Amino acid sequence: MTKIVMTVDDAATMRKMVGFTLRGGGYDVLEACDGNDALAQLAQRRVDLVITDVNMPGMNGIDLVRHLRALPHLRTTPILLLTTESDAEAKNRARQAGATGWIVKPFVPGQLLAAVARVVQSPVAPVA
Amino acid sequence: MLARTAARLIGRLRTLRASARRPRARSGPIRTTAATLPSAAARIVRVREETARQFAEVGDRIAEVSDLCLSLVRETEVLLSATGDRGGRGSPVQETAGIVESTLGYIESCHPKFEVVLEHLRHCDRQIDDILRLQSEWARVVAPLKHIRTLCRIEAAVLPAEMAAMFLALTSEIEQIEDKVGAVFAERFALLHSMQETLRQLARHLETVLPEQRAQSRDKRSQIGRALRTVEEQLAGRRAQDAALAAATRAISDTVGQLVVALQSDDIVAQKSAHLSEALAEMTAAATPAATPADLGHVHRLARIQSAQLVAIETDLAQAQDVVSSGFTRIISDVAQMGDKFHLAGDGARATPARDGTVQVLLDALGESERLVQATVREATAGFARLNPLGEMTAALTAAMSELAVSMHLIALNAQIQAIQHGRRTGLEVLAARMAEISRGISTVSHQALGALDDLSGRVRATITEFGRLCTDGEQHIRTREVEWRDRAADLRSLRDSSARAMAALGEKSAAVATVSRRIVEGFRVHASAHEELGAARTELDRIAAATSTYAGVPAAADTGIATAHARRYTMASERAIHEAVAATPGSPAPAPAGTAPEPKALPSLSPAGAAVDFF
Repeated sequence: MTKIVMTVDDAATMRKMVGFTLRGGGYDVLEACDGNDALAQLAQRRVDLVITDVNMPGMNGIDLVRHLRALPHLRTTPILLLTTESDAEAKNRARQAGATGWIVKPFVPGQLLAAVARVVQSPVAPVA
Repeated sequence: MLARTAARLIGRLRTLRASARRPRARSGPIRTTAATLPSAAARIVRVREETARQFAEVGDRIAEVSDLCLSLVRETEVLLSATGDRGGRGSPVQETAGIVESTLGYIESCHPKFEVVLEHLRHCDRQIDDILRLQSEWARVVAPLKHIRTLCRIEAAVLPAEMAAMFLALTSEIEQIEDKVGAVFAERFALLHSMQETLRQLARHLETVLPEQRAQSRDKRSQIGRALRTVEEQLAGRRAQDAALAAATRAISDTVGQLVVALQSDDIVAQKSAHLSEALAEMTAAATPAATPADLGHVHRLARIQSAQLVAIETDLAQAQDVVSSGFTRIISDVAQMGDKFHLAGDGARATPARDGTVQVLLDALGESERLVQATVREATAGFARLNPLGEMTAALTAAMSELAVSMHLIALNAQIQAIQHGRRTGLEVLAARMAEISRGISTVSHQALGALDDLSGRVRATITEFGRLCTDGEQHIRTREVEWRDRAADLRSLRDSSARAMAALGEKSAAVATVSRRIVEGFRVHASAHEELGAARTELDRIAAATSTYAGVPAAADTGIATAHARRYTMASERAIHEAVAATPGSPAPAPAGTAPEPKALPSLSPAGAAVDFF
């Protein structure tokens, strides 16, 4: 069955690049333009992975991780942060919020697909 | 006293502090900052909006080009599949050639059998000639019967009644024999003539048809040989084409990957632009008429850092521009090369079944070989149908001749018995002796004829059997191969049609990729349009840095809080690197004078793509 990935980014080009790469890898892709949009779309549905930017208007990526982890059906869904940031403190906050991994932009398509394949195969342990 | 001294010192300190806070040429830098900052910010916003639009357009196009390239690869794979090995069974072309070869082999294996049949027919013809030649011998042998019958009638006229009746009975028997002989000559030998004519027609037909079939089979075999040689060449060419296709696919995929990385510059530029705008707003807030030297020192450092950040943005955009232009140019070239491999004359063209007709040749050969087998079966069936009655005819002739010989023998025997019983001085002994002589003659001739007929009958039976076997084997071959022929023909037709479609699609899609890619290469001028705006913004920042250079040495301790807050803004490794490089050299001149941008390569660039993936 085709895996579904949601990409969350306020930059349309980034959403296009992530979507293009993942579709090429055989995934179905849902797009959200920020944290609130993602939360609204995921309120009732399951996905196999969420890839989100950190800096977004409205709700940032780390807050989105917290909100998603609070949803029972997304407690074990892998969430990757895809961001230009490489700040250790921000990474730490993401880890505490329940993110699965951190990828620094710009990504190389093959490496993004490898990272996605790795996490969609093994759901994360529920956040305490 | 002490209190007065203290009050004086405090007063002097306040004066000194106020003096230190008051800029010596405050109105100059503030005027410059107030005039240039909003303009620089507006330019950055304009560039950002324009580049975002262009990046988004290219982002849309890259998926389109990539899809077209993928479908191009699929089309070329269809073309290659004609000659490609399928799980060790060989290519469809080779498989079909194998089937046609086997069918031609079957047809050729029938030829010696037809030769045997032909030899039988020729032998039968000779045998019939021999039998027909015996006809005159028959006539000569039985001719005296007529005289004997006449003599019997004459003798009967002068003999006593009992003897006369015996002579007349003999006469009647002789008449019956003569009738039988007449019937055999009139009907059976006429049938034998007709049979000979049939055999000759059949032989003549086979003598005409067999060389034709042999020639057709030879032609087909040579056609198949040529097709197979072409296939061999295709297979050799295919290996080269496979390698070229794999290389082109890899190259396109790599280029698309580089384009995906380059287009992410949009997000990076957006973030840098946002940080730059925040810094410009902070500078605007700091550069008020009430600004302290520390504020102006901070403005000075910010101006230098933002000037360097602008160069970094320009570099990012220039690199993205280069990657997009060269990437799409390379895609155009790769697609053209791929098209050349499958379109142009030369060895490459041979891999396109619809163009060189290899598939059509095989389809024709398949149909022809099927028709040849059917024709062989038809010949055998027709031969069988024509010869089958001849078996009965020879049997009937044999029976008639045997009966004739036996009848004559019985008449002669009867005459001899009568002669012994009553023959003294009646002349019967003479007639009986003569009839016995005729009977021996008939026996001799019929023995020869029966021998020839027996041989003829044997040959006819053997020919019928051979025809029957050819029919059965041919029908069996058709039954066995029918499904295979049909499936293979359907496969080849589908291959021919799909390769024809692939050829058309290849042309259309190559052209589409080239058109879309050229449009992008011509339309994506981010750097060209941004260079002027960003250069002007940088000139304005450099002017601010120059105007505030007096405050460059104001101790950093005064704006540590602000500087730290500002540094926190730089979350990208490249931004931090620029910030640290400029902040570490407070006395150095501004990064670049207006209009002379430093070499982009000297600046820290984007983070290496894909360098950092951390799993928690």
